[in-house]
Amino acid sequence: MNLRVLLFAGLAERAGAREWRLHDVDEATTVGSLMAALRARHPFLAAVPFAVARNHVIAADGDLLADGDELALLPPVSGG
Amino acid sequence: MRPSASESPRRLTRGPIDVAALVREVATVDHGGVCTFVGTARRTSDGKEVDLLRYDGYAAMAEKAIEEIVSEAMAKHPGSRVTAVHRLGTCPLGEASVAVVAAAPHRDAAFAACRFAIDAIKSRAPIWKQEVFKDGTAWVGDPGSFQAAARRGGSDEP
Repeated sequence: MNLRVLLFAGLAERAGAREWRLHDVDEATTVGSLMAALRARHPFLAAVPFAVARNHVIAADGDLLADGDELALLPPVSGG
Repeated sequence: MRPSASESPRRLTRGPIDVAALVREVATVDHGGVCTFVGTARRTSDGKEVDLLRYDGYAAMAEKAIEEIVSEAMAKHPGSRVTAVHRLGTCPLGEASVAVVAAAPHRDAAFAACRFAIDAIKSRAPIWKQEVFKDGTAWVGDPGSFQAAARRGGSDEP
């Protein structure tokens, strides 16, 4: 399956990108297993804690991903 | 029929916020109190001089979050009408980065609805503030994100 991962603020800056497109991801991938893989590939993800949204809703590690999902890595918010 | 405040399509803007327009959007003759909160870009942050602020946001989710917060504020205070807008992109000093307007039959509910909405926006909307200093930039709440300003060509170069 294919997924999009959106990055914001300090994470986007560190990544040098606002979006990662992931192709041919295993069907049995969960939010938690994908994050483990991304953290292994991109050590800068340890720099700041973040929540994960899946299709605009905060996700749990155990949530199974589906083709076309839009994930977003959300550092602690600081609007206002 | 006048549309309800919650039908307003846009909760985010990349330009100045028109607070008077927000007041007109929610205040009616049934409201005896209108409470407005305007968050503005301040000159200093922890004693350091700020040149301007920049806001990043997950627009689709932030629109939904602010819409939900506005609906919750009105549900908590029957008879109230609430609206809110947050700015994204560059916000010069002194200009509004966020505005909430709550109109209610009496002032207690107007203050309470306004307070609830601004607190919820600050804690729940996926929006991030970057402070731009003379010597670099930093995302608020992400201390490791400081990036030194690129040196300007010319004056100090040999």
